[in-house]
Parts: sequence; structure tokens; C-alpha cells
Amino acid sequence: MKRWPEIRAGLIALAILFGLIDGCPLPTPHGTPEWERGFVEPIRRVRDFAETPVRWMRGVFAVTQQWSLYQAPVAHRYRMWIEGQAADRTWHVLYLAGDPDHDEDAALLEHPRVWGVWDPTNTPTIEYTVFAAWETARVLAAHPELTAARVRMEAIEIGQGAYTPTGQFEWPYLRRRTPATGPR
Amino acid sequence: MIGNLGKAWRAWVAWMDRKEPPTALALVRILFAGVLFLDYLDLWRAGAIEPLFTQPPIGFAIGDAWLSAHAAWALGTVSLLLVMIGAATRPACIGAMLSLAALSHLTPDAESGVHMLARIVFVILALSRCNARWSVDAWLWRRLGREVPAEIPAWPRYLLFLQLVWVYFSGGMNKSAGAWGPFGGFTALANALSDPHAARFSPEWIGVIYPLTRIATALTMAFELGAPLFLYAYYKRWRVRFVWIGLGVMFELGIAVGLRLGSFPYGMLALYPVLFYATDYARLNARTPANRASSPS
Repeated sequence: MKRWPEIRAGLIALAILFGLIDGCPLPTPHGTPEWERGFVEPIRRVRDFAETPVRWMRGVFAVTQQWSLYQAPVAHRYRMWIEGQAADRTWHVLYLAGDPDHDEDAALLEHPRVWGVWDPTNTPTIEYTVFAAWETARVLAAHPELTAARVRMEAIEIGQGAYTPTGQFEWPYLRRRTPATGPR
Repeated sequence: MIGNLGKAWRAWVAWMDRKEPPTALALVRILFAGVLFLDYLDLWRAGAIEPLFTQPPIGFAIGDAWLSAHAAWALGTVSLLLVMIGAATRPACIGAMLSLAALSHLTPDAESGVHMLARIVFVILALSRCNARWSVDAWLWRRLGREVPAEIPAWPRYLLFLQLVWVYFSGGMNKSAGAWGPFGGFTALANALSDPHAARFSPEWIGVIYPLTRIATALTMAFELGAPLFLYAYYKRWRVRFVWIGLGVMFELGIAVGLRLGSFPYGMLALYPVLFYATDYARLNARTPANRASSPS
């Protein structure tokens, strides 16, 4: 086809153009500071309109040209605790992130495709509650002697090659044993 | 004005019509699919397929997809193996992309940037002739008496090249946390390497090399935000472009050693063959012992 090189060059140019439009570095609507809203929001509206012909690709193929590679390794972070409660109501640590003495199920929990599911930023992941429900049920199934299991995140402060626990826990998920979660 | 536009358009069409040996794209096909094939096998080895990609109560997937967890995994594993060996390469690339998309729909946070990048890379590879070298397809064509091209369209490599450079540049622009910059003391890498969720080792050793981690953080930002300069150096064929590539290799190897990021750094490195000119490969080939021995000079 005589005109194929021109058609192909045009399609490639269009693909690059839509990629650049999609990759326009704008803050998220919730993360836009007040003073930036006056010019960020109009740009966002123009970008969204310009992307109309290809927007379906983002949903179907889960792709975007806005890349966020490890964007926020901040000092205020979290450390996951997984604990089980014995019949005498004492809590026992089964898994504590970064602690080789408490590493039950670490091979699965710390798998590179798994830890992203429970690792919070400044908010929990969208899968966190479902994960915590699954994990606590798994703990109770593996430990018939436990009466309850919980998952929670301890806030830590990182600085100069060490982290300091704050003793403050967030997003706790507690599951008590019921007839449905197996024999006591 | 219109004359200049016409001239630019003709130059663009001619540029996108260029051909080159298939070395770079064949390397990317083998290495990139190989990294993801191992990533899929590792999901199975760790027993993570069912919990990660099945909905409660069996697992903790939150989304829906057109394939079940095991079907998506099986499609992906077979497709990635086929892409790696270059057998039925085009449909296999599409199969790999569909599998990756299905797993992403099921559990969005169970993937890293390299999985999203893969969904773009495999579409470009499907449109390319990356199977013209070191592939079952090429072997089969020869056996059937069909011509195997010595040169293939270069535009898929250009697109992958731009994509890789854009990933880094966009990543740099989106690093808004103060820890990546001078006001946060360039502490980002030290923080990441001390994070009990992400770090591969206990953080005590970070204290010893703390100043080095700050230099590494500054170099990382220079590398990512310097991506457009690399484009210019590449265009000008300046040798300084190898400095940028070297920084990228060091950055990816550093995070591969220090952080539990799975296939991400290896997948990124598997795309680096597109950053070299076809003449770089020719020069490298001429330096191999066999070719040096047969050289008349």
C-alpha cells in the first residue's frame, strides 16, 4: 500500500500525543493545594476532554502514562503486626514486619506481589480490609488454640538507618473465633 | 510555515520508515518476557495465586475480571514462555497482555510499575518483528523456505525507547515527597532501605553508609529528571549518554539488592537494549573474539 508509511507515521504520532496528554503531571483532585486549584482544574478538564477517544483503554487494560515509582518514602511509616489471643486473653505476636523472631507466614506475606496489598501509604490500601479479614481467618484456622486474631499497623519514625516505634496503632482489624471459624 | 510543516511531516514519515537489524527488539523480547515468566512461576511457587487473585473468603481480591485467577495465570505463563522463545509471538504477546490486565483488575495493588509497563510493551512487541531473530518463528520460516528479514522496522524500538525514558522522567516529576529533594535532605533512599515493609535487610547498615544514600538519592533524581537530556545526547550520538545508562543500571541493581521489589528492577533492565543504536550492537559484535580473529586488520 503506497500510503501505508504515512498512515503508520500518523498513527504513531497520535499514540505519542495521547500518551503525552495522559502523562501530563497533575496532582490528584484530592491532593491539589488550594492555591493551585485555579489553574490545575482547568488543565485537568482540558486533558480529560482531549483523552475522550482513548479513555476506555485506561479502564480495560489498566494503563496510564502517569508513572509513580516509589514516590513517597517518607519518615513517617508503619509496621504490620499480626497477633493471636490465647484463652488466658494474652496476645502473642505471630508476625511483625522486619522481625526475624516473629515471621509466621512471612514467605507469603512478604512476597513482592503480596506486600503491596497491605503496605499503607498515609492511608490503607483499597485491599487492606479484605486482606486483614482473610489473614485473621487464616491465623485462626492454623491455630485452634487461639480465641481471636488481629492485624494492625504501628506508626514508626524512620531516621538515619533506624526506625523508632511510636506505640500508636492504626487500622486494627479484629476477628473473634465463632463456630464458623472452626473448633476452639 | 506550511512548507516547514510539510518538510517536518516528510522527515517524520521517513524516520518512522527506517529499518535496522532486529537485535535490540529480539533481546527485549527474550529478556522482558523471561523476567515476567519467572515472576509468574514465582507466584505459583509461593502459593500466592489463589489468595492474591481470588475473591473472599478464599482470597483477598477485590475486583472482577474476564478470567479467573488460575485461568489468567495459566494464560500468562504459557504466553510469556511463547514470547520468550519466539513461537507464535504476536498472539502470545496479546495473551500475555490480557493475562496481566486480568490480574490487575482482580487485585490492583498486587502489581508493580513493571506489570503496567508490560501491558504497553507487549502491544508494541506484537506490532513489531521482534521474532525475526533468535526465535522459533524465524527457524520455522527458514524451514518453510520463507524469507527471514535481516532488517525490520525500527519504529517499535523508538516507541519502547521513548516509553522507557518517559517512565523515568514521569516518575521523577511525580516524586513530590520532600525526602527526594534538598529540603528533605535527600533522605528518600535511606528511608526506603530502612522501611521494615520494603527493605530486604535490617536497617543497621544504613547508618554506616548514610551520606552515600543521600548522594544516591540526589543521583536518582538527576537520573530521572535528566531523561530529556539523555534524549538529546542520544540524538547527538554523544558518548555521555552511556553515563545516563550507567546511572540507570546502578539504580536498578541497587534497589534490586536493597528492596523487596520482585521483578520490577529486572524488568526495567530487560528493556535497556532499546537504548542502544543498531551500530552499537554491530560494534560490539565486531569485538567478539571470533570476529576479531577473522578480521583482516
